[in-house]
Amino acid sequence: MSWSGWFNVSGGAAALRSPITAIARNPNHLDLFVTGTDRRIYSCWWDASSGWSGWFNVSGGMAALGSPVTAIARNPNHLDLFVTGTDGRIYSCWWDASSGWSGWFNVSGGAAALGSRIEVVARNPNHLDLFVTGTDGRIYSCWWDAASGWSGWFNVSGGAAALGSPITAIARNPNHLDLFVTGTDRRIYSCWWDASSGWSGWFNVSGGMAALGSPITAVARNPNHLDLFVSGTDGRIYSTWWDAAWGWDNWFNVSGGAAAPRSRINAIARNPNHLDLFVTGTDGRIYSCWWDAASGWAGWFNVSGGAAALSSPIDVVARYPDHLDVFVTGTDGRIYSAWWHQSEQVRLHVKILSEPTSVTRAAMLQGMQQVFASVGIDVTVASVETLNLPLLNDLDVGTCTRGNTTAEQNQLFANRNNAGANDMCVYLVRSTVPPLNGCAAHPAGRPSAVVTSVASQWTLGHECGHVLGLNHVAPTDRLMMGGGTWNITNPPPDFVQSEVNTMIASPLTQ
Amino acid sequence: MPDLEDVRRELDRDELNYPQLARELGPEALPQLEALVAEDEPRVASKAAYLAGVIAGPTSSRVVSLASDSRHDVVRVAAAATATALPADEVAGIVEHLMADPDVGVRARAARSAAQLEGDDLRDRLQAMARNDDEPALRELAAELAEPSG
Repeated sequence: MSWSGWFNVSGGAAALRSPITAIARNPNHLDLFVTGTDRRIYSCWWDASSGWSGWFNVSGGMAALGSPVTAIARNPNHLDLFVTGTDGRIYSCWWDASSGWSGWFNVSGGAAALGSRIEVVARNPNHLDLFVTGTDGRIYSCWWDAASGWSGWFNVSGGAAALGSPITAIARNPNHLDLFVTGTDRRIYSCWWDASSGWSGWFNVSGGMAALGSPITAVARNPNHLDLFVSGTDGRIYSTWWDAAWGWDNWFNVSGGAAAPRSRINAIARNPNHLDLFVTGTDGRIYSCWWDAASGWAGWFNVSGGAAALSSPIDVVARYPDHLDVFVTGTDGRIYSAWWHQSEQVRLHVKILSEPTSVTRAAMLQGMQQVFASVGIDVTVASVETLNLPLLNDLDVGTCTRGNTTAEQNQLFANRNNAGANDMCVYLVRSTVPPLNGCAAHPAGRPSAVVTSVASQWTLGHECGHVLGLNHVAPTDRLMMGGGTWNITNPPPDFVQSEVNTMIASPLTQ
Repeated sequence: MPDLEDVRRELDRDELNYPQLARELGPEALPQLEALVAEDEPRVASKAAYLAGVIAGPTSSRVVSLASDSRHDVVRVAAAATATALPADEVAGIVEHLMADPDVGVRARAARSAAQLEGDDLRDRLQAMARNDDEPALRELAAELAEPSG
């Protein structure tokens, strides 16, 4: 299984909805920070060599219940923490491998509403930039530089936001910063700083709006691209992107996702062509979905049955590209973690002779990805190709039995551009002769299936299940049910463990 | 006699064994198959039309004829394909009609059936298709199919 179950981290607890901050100073180490139920600031760590430590109070620090503690590792042997203290002043302390934890100090006289998040960015290892909404509702910044120490606070380009509004900052490159915030008029604003030109003015991002104080999540998959995520005024999860070549795109709803207003959508780019999102849904369950450059957006799925209070933030860390650690305060106020490790993958090459008419191609792929992901098998769409073969669009599949193929199937399945020996090719045809929704019969050495235009959302996964060695079953809530995937009950359909074992044993599961 | 919903349920599978289903349901199912073709739902209608041909009962050619006039390409493809299971004198007109279909896939499947059914009229029609069809690949296929076998 790719996703682990949830476990309580070293007995830790916090007020409902408390954000857990996790940071990986190196791939074999995690540090966590949280404001505990007694308002003291706690940390614990995980190390690959020793496992989880116990929780300890960081240098006597305290903050209001639920206050976010932000952390940054300027280098692998150094941590800087920031928090709004119980007196509304902005505090920092640091840990260094050579000297341990420092005491807390007020940063340049700064103050903010209780519970305000202090955003921090390290454009380079010797420089920090901080951002916060001040007690007067204006957006402030200050910086620390190894050469000059802490600067004073200054208002960023006249910007303002509701008290406590989090500011999101991101450095696409060491000489550039982009800021994002929900303004006092609920419109989503951005401005930037560039070493060559200084601070720009604020501008509304593609007409976007959100509830006052809504956090905007920003990810830079590469230095010329930004992806933003927010829970909109209608409680739906929205995204937009900026690309250096095209500018800003329009906002769009991510795979039908929804969350309570002001929910933080946590996003991470494990690699430049992949995004993973995490959010607490409107039903209090913890959801994830992903975007991949090859296949687009997947559907949302519940992470290992996890649940949390509405609007609870889910923090996520990728210690390396094939591993995610997620952290949340659960519905019982205990601090939980789960992890995902990419271990199994089926690679699909989609060959289009006819687009489906009964459901969309995207729905078919999402359906398959959803069901396979539930048992820890990632379905990667490795390529998509259109084939202009009108005489094979209504394909003779003969008896459609394992190992028996027709001349037309053999001719079609010879089209395997981009596909490795253990990659599966799926051919979307208009119909088959005789009429079927799909057929998984294929010649040896060319793992393939056809799916017709009248297929259901689950037929693609069903046929690929056959290619992976599965047979029909009777229960109507299973993907491999023989009574027709249009008639599946209690969707999404399931696999049983013996089926998972068969698929994992297949050389096509890589 | 199987009822309409029984037949619909048998057809609404991802994969079907038509010869086995034809044996199980028999000619008694032809009225239900005709009704399902007439319902105009392409997923089930295409399967109903094809099964009617495989059953090869007294009213099979009427069901296939109905399917050949469907507004859904996939149903007309099924009609063209299943015609080969029926006597040539019953379905030659249906196949000839489908060889003039506006859809290239339907014409292609009808051409393949025409070659199997044989008969001078169908062979003439194949030769005309080899000369005149708008789709180059289908002209080539028709030319191959029009060649005398053996």
